[in-house]
Amino acid sequence: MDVCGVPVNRALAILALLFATLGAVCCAQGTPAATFDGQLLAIQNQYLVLSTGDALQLASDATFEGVAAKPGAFVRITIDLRTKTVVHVVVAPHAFTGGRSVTEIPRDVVAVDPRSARKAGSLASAASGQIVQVTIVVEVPANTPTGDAVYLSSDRSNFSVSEVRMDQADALHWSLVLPLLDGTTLRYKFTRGSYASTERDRAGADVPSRSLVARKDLKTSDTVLRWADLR
Amino acid sequence: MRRSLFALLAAWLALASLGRPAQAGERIELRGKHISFFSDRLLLVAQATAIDVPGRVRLRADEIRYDLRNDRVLAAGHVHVVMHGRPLEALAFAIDLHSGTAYALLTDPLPDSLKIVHERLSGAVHEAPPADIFVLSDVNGLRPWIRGTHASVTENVGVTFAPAQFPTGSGITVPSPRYLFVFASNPNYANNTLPGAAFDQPYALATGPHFADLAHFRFDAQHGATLAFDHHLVFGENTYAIASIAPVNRAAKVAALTFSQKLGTKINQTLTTSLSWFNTGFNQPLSAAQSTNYRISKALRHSYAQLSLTQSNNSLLPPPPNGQYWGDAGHGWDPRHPFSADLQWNGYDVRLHNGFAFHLSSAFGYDHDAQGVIPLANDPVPYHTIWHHGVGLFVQSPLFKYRDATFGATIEQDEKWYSYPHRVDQTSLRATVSRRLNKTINLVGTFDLQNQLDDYHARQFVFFKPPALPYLASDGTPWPGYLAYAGATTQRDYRLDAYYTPSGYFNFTTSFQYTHDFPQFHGFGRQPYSASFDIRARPFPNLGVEIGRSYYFNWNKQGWSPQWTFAVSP
Repeated sequence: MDVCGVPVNRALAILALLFATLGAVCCAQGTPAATFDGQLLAIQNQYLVLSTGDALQLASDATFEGVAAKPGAFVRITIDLRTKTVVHVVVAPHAFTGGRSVTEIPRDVVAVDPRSARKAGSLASAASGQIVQVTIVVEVPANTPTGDAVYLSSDRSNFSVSEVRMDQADALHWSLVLPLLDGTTLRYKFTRGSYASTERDRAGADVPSRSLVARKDLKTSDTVLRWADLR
Repeated sequence: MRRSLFALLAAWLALASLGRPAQAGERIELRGKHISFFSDRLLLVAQATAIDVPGRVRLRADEIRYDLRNDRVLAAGHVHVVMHGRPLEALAFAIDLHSGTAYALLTDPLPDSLKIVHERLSGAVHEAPPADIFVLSDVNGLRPWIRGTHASVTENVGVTFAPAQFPTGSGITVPSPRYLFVFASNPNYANNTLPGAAFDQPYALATGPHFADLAHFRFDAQHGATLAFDHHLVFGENTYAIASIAPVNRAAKVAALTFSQKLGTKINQTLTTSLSWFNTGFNQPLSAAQSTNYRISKALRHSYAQLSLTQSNNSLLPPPPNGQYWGDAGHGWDPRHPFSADLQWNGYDVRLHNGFAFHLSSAFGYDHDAQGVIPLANDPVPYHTIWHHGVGLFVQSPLFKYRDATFGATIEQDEKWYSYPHRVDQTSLRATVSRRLNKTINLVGTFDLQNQLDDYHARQFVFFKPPALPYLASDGTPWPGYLAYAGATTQRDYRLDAYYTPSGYFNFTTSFQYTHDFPQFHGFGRQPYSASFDIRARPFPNLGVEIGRSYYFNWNKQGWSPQWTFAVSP
């Protein structure tokens, strides 16, 4: 059976889509404000700038609550979608949870609209400030002497050769659980506790330091090819 | 002695002149009402602040954050920028000091964003910044390690605070007129040639784009508390030089100079020269010796070759009047000046299909001394030059797993022949078994066997002559068994290590070792039984402490080992 030459099932689908669209438009018009969570960069010249690079216009009667609005503080902003201005700002020292990210702000609201800021997870790259446990596992040469401990040497201590002693897991593997601030970049090498016994490449030349960016439950798998004092 | 010191000094000045950078002395000055330094993030956070990158950029803003690790500066709030003399007002400004690329957010007259390349405002283009360029690291609630009002930064090397204040958890702030923190990502700034110590705390004195001067406060059982200095010259990732002197406050001192350079990706050369002497104050040294080693290695396709040349002068002093020593018998005068050359070829590991691996090695070289290479007391024949050659084989098993246990083994055989009647035969065997009891406890057991035979053929008893009198051990006990020692030694280690690691903040390691050697008797050789412990704890978030010690079970009149190991880590 056809309706105006269109099959009934297709006609019903078109109608459903039409109603859904109309409903969404009505709802949007009926919701004058929306709330988003982000990080504050600055407030100046009646603009509120987020760390995404988005600049939002502040309403002349915008209200603030919470701690002082300093760069780096976290904000929950309420935007009047009709005037496209920020009408209310809650400022907190730590990130809000559970709300919508500022990356979801409608682009027509943003006064400075860096397209790249739309990338999902742009704020996720900001370190959380939490301590995370990073597990560093290294395989050492089979000729590593019995009784010698393996140490981690990193830029945290200006590469002190006996910075942190590792734990032996088996004949070839040593490991270390290191508490680090989330997002910390750690440059490190392995040693046997002295400068004469640092790790080298297979031919005995110095090796550049390794690098990791701390994040929750990160586990490395490194290999020492050779020690400086052993062939 | 004096000529050697002058030679060391001249070599150092030549290296220092090579290392003088084109933009020497460039320091970035950061001043603010409050500057906080978060050492674990290498981040400077300053309020009501200004930063000056000489000849490039000047910034003034409500807040400036300098990410020292990535060499990036972010300014926010009422930002006033001057780049190469041209001003710009911005709401936020981010610059990568390494590349010179910057982004600015403007709101006057209209919101806009600019990209500035090579720090040239005239060439700025309207372009959206990358998504994370203005993201601020969350430091709320974190206690800074240092607070101040002025920080002077040498890019990628160090930051000086003058004055510096160290806030503590108790509310007390420890002031210091000046503090230099070295954060060089290039480990060549940290390489050094100082001897081992139970404790070594470096204190940075000065840094520049290519150098760092460090004082070392050290402790070891032999010398007690000592002071050492070293000077580092660093030319990128591939070349560095280090001059050091230690211990400054003891009569027996060692000055060393090391130069290391990568000549391309496959060739590496190192020159090390050291001068050791014994004197008090400005008195005539009682002993002085010098040694220089040059080593060059070349990576081949499946192996590498290394040439090592060593020249030593066992005494730089003139002959003493008595012909034996200056001062007292503890400073014997040795006229020898041996030279040795050694060419090695070492294969890389060859992995077999069954998981086993092996590598081969060989060596060829000679030792020369006009006074004779071998002490005359052993062999009356004055060998002035002795050639040697040798081969070696190393085999390792794969790791076998059975239930919760892991097993691995290695065996190594080395043979070395000399141009006089002498052969050295070495065999090493090791077996390791490990078992993880639960998430926090791991056990590792090791058996290690090492045999060495010094074979002098028909002249064996010239070198291992049975003593005419009954042989006494170190504690005076008669030891007839020593007469059986004729060049063959055996060392057996039975070792158990237990690791208890409940979290990343605490670790307890204990080791028990039983050695069964020959020769070994009443204080002669290694202690049969020993136990050691090592505790690693992190009492504060930014401070780790490690303490360790060993017990010898009354071997050679010793109970506890003479030294502690002690380390403080960030």
